[in-house]
Amino acid sequence: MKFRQTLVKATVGTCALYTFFDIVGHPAQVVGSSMYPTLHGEDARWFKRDFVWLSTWSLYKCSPGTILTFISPRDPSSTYIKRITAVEGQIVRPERLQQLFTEIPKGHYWMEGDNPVNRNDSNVFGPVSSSLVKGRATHIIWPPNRWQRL
Amino acid sequence: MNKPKGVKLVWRYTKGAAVFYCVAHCISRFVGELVICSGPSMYPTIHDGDLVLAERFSIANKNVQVGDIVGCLNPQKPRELLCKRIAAKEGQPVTSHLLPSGRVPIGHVFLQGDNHAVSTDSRHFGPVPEGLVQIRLALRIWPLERAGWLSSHWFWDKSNQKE
Repeated sequence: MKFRQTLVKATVGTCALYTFFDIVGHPAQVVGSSMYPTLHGEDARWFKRDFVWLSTWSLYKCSPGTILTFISPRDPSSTYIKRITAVEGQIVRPERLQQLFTEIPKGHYWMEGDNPVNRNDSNVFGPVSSSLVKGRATHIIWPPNRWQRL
Repeated sequence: MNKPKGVKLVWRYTKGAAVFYCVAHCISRFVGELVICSGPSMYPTIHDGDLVLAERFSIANKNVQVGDIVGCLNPQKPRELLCKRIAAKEGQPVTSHLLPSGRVPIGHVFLQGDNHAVSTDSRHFGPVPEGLVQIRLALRIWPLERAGWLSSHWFWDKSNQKE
């Protein structure tokens, strides 16, 4: 009987944690150097990389400058963190795509990394649908000396 | 044991509701959910107002195959679920004026409704990223006289998946 109670409590606790992560927000680690001056994720040791807090509120009407995480349009199993540089209706000039000017379609964002040297962003895969957006980075929560709002 | 009263009773009900909400959220996120389909875009297969059981295991298992009926987020309107059939996956040939190369780009799927005349699908907004595919529709349970399987394979069955 005791064992069953513990099992039920653990299950409910896990569900409550996932629900909290989904409807409020969750921490995540930055991996990669594409957001370099803002977020540090280039170190191979995990404890040297930044942790950010991702809020799941107000993801769909963001203005340029917001940092968002989204599922990669090319690979559904990887998640990217980039900054919005243009929103729907604006006209951008991609660096590497063939066409010279692109108008961003309805419900899409133009996401770019802060690091001009190493980035894999909308210049490569085009505008990102806002349905792919999973979170909005609000704070750097680790390391403590760089704790700040974004 | 005496009956709880007042604030204690309210607290107990609130806790019960919170636990119910959390468990329901986790089931709908990891297992599957009931979907009420609306609209005419899948007409001969799914009628307007049908109740369908949908599962998420095939998405987690990366076992979405050509011919499956999936629920996919609208790339232009967030939080709107579209119900379409997968016509082609990445690298497969497709005839569409939106795709000059004639092939579905990497990581994308080409969606098409069964009702070609009225369906708004990849022929209008182009191929969608596979990350937008949320659930796979498996079993129609209402109305009862048309209840039956919508999918031809189980979520673990990868045997007829082409490389």
